[in-house]
Amino acid sequence: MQEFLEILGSAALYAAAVRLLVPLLFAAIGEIFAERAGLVNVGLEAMMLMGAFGGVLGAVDTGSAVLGLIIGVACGVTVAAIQAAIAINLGGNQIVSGIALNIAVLGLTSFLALTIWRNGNVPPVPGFGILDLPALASIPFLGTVLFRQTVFVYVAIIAVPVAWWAMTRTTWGLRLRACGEDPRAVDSLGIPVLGLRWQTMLIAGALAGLGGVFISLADVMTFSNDISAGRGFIALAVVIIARWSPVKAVFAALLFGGLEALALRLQTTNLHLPTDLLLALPYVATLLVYAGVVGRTVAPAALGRSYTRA
Amino acid sequence: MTGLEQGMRPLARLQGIVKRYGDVIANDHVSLEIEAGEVHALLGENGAGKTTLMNVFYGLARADAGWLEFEGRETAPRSPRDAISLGIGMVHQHPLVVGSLTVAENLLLGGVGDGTASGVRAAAKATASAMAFDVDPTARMDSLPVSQRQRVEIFRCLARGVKLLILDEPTAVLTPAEVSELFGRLRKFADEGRAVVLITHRLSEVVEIADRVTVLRRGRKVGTWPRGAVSSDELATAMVGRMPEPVARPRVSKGIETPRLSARNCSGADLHGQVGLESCELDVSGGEILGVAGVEGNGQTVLAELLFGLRMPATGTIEVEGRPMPLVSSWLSAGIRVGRIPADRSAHGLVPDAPLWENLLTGPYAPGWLSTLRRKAAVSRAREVLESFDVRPPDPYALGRELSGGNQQKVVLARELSVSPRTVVAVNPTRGLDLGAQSDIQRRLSDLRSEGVAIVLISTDLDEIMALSDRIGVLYKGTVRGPYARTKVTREDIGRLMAGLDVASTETTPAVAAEQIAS
Amino acid sequence: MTVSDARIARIPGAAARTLLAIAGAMAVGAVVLALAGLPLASTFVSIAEGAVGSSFAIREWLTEAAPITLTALGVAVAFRAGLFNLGGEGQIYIGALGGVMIALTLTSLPGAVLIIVASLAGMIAAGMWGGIAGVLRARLGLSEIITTIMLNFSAFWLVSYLVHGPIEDPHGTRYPWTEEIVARAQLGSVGGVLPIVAIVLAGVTVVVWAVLERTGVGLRIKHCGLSQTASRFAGVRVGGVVLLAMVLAGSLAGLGGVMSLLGDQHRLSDFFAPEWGFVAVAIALIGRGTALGTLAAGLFIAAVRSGVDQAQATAHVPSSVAEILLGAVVLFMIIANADVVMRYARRVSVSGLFTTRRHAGIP
Repeated sequence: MQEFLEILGSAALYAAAVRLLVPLLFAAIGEIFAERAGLVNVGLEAMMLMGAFGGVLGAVDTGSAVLGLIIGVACGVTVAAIQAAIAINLGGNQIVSGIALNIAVLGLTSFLALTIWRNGNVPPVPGFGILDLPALASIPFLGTVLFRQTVFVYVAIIAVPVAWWAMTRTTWGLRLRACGEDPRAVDSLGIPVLGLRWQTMLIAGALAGLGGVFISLADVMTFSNDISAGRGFIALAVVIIARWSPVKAVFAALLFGGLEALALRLQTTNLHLPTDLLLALPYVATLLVYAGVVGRTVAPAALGRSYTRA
Repeated sequence: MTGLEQGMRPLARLQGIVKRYGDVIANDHVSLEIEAGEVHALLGENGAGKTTLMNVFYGLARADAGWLEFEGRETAPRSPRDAISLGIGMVHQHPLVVGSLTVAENLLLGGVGDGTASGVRAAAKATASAMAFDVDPTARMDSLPVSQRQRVEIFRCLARGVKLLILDEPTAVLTPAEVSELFGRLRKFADEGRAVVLITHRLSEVVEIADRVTVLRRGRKVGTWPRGAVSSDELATAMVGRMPEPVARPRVSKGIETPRLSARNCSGADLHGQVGLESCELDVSGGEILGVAGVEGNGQTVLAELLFGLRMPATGTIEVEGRPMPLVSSWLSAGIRVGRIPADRSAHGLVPDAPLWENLLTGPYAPGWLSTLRRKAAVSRAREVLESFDVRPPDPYALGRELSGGNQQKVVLARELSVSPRTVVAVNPTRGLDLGAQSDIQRRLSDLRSEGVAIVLISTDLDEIMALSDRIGVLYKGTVRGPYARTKVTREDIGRLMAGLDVASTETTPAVAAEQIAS
Repeated sequence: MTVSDARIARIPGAAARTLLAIAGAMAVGAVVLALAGLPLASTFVSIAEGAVGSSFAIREWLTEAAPITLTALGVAVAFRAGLFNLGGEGQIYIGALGGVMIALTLTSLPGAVLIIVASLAGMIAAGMWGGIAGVLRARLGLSEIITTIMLNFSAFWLVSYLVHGPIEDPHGTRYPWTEEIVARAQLGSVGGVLPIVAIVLAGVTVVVWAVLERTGVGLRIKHCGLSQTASRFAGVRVGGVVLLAMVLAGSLAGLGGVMSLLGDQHRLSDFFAPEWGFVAVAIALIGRGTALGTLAAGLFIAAVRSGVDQAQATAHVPSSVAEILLGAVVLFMIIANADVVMRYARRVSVSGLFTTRRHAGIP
């Protein structure tokens, strides 16, 4: 009990939770843009996985973590472009194409990893190191949790208010929200529905790719098959629990990241806990919270529906 | 005298417009000129191609042939954006506003104001007095009645300074008083040197406001006439190609019997949790049609849901032949036979993506969960039923959505009447149908009545109510007023009741209230 | 062309589009193999030989086909009701768990009884597991896409926990798995070629076909999938249909898990069914949500997978090629069925599977 309380009070636990929530947060914010505009993007997982792979590929080939990041994000955007073309222009079923992309990208990344790095032995990756923020890092507890992290965490801290502002305080945000509610009305006002939806899908791809790059270049520092491990799907749940709000997404992602950090931390203790059951905890908790909030959420009315003029 | 003869060019001009949807020609070489300063009515039956023609002008549909001209310059709007920048505004039949956004946000979307929410609020308030625009800018759009939503949409067009305003059947959602208010505003707008195109299928509106009228029939232009040049009868003939036969209404006297279907003190909430229906009372006996009139959005949906057995009333009771009515799922076991004709035939009445033979096997009288389906027998029976109801095509494998509205309605009727119901509840059964299908359906209802079936006809079409009903109730703000015997009220009386006014207070028909049939 | 002619034209049209999509995916596969520096012709030959080149290969192929196709049949039932059951993997694990508990404890039962009881236990357990997502969808409106994914992880970690401890093989092997089930409960093959699990698959396919196409339940499931609005108006308890479809989906996947346990793996482990749930979804999509189509697609995809698996040893073909191919087939099917590409495409059985309609309520 004593040991458990010590863990609960340790800054290391919360720093780990922040690390685990960041990729979810990036993917969720991107998805919020897409869903607010009426697109449901089950291929989020594929975009993260492709981003994680592209990041490692780029970083290894160029020797630069930053170039790796750019290539990883571009990979996420590429997958998003396929999803956008199918969902927006072809009127294809958005869920089916997302599922297909997940399968195809899972196969493609593991195939490429195998062929490029013979037998899957990924060479050492130049990743992103910890970047202490001067002054802030020395704040007791909070400094360790928030300000002794990689640059991704700081970007995420900025991304949340920026996304909120863009969504609620700009004409662009108003237009994309209207797109997700009633594309016909928006179209009749001369606002380009398909163009707006393309923009949000590419943003979703870029941010999911960024989340993937964080996993491979700033957390795990390598690539392995299925490295995103379902994070894209968790992000979909985060979006609903957060009721399509970037600010609330922080807390929804923290729920999952925090529980996972706790489960992982408890594994290393000698409390003899059933660790595998603990690892199921974040998923069960997400499910329960989802069930708890869902009655009070209203999804964008046109979510998942393609739009074409009659 | 037209502008052309004066050597001036018309404000807008459509020349030889052709628009096809698959094999259907919606517009067949239609040409039209609109002058500045006029209200131009575009008259035609449902499906005559009026809306399509204007959608072409507004950039919502691309013409397959023909060209457009606005203010003397040739143009080809590829999207509403192009049309808007030209100065064309269009108000659609069902208001195209975003329900979950506020009034101000909807105005902002439409380019009103300086691009900020507060700017729009200010602009909205400033112009409020100018057009009696008494709408709270912070209200959510879907909390407003339909007439208000339409008003916001019109305001949005005007605030953009349009030169040509197109309105598609704007009066469908308005009370008679609101209609005359709207027409006054349109007249003023045209007098300022701009132009209005009014799409309508109502002759009375043409007579009331139009300077000129163009009639479309089956995608083709029949002609354009200045007001007064042709009589209403001539316009009607031009519109339908033949005079519609009036529905015969044999007046059978019937004895007093217990009501087949009755609602006692029924209340229920609408979708948004507000009271949709309050203390509703009505009853209908065998061999009569009880008409329920009313402007859309006054509780029709809730009343229909209750009578269709889709939910139980929050208070009060509904009885069928003296017994309380259960939910529709147990009608079969309870031996209740009520035919149900919903307002939305393509979404409620039919499974649009299922073949017709399957559609004939839905509803409370469908084969049970564990019964085996003998497909061949079901299909051949379906073919017989479809033929006997003159459904075209009578193909059991055709999908529901492949049929025209009239044929969809016939399929619904075929299914609902196949169990020989003793009571029928019909909601807007002819809305959106062409005149042929309309009179066909109306005749069937009338025949059923003669056969002794009790019919509740909930309709927003006042003409239909007046033509078919034996007694008429009026839904206003969730309460049924009346019913009144058809012979004792005029169309105007019902119109006043629909607007919430009291008939008894008018001096023209003092006796009406007294004639109210006690229930 | 009259309407009836058009109807007749639909079915071969659908099949042709599926074959077209498969051809497109094969082309992608060829490019991928070429990029990996593998000789195309001989690689294709070794994949084909690996799939059906010997009686051993055929037995392996059909043994692999049974569990994923059974799971895919479950996915197809859910499709009919308009649901995306991504929970196949979790349902397989729970089904296999139910089966293995019976097979390990009731060892005194005669073989046939043991097999039947284990199968039923697996189906009931997985049916209830699938039913969780069904209840959440029917009662609370929770997206089954998300709940089934969460249930997958939960099931996986539950099984992982069990095979690392409570039901770990007591004979001290190195792997986290249960001990082998008794020989009496293992399902073999007829004549060394036709596995019994494949016979079970054929029988279950016929039953699923009959239920979906020839009963009142099937009609209601289909109509709920096509239009909940119309079904609700017709007096159908849509929530009940949704729950039923998810329970059926779960129990079919659970049966798949038991079949893999009894007919192939003989132990439950935490690497029992990797990504099978998604493979099953793809198979049901390629089969357009019909029972017979799913069977055909399942046999085809299993042949590719087992052929690639064999060729991995003989011709160094990475096994991930099968997944690329699978994803590509589905993507090409969406494209081949898009309105824009082919005006009269879509429908046949499950309309709206590849195209979204305005009224399709998702998720």
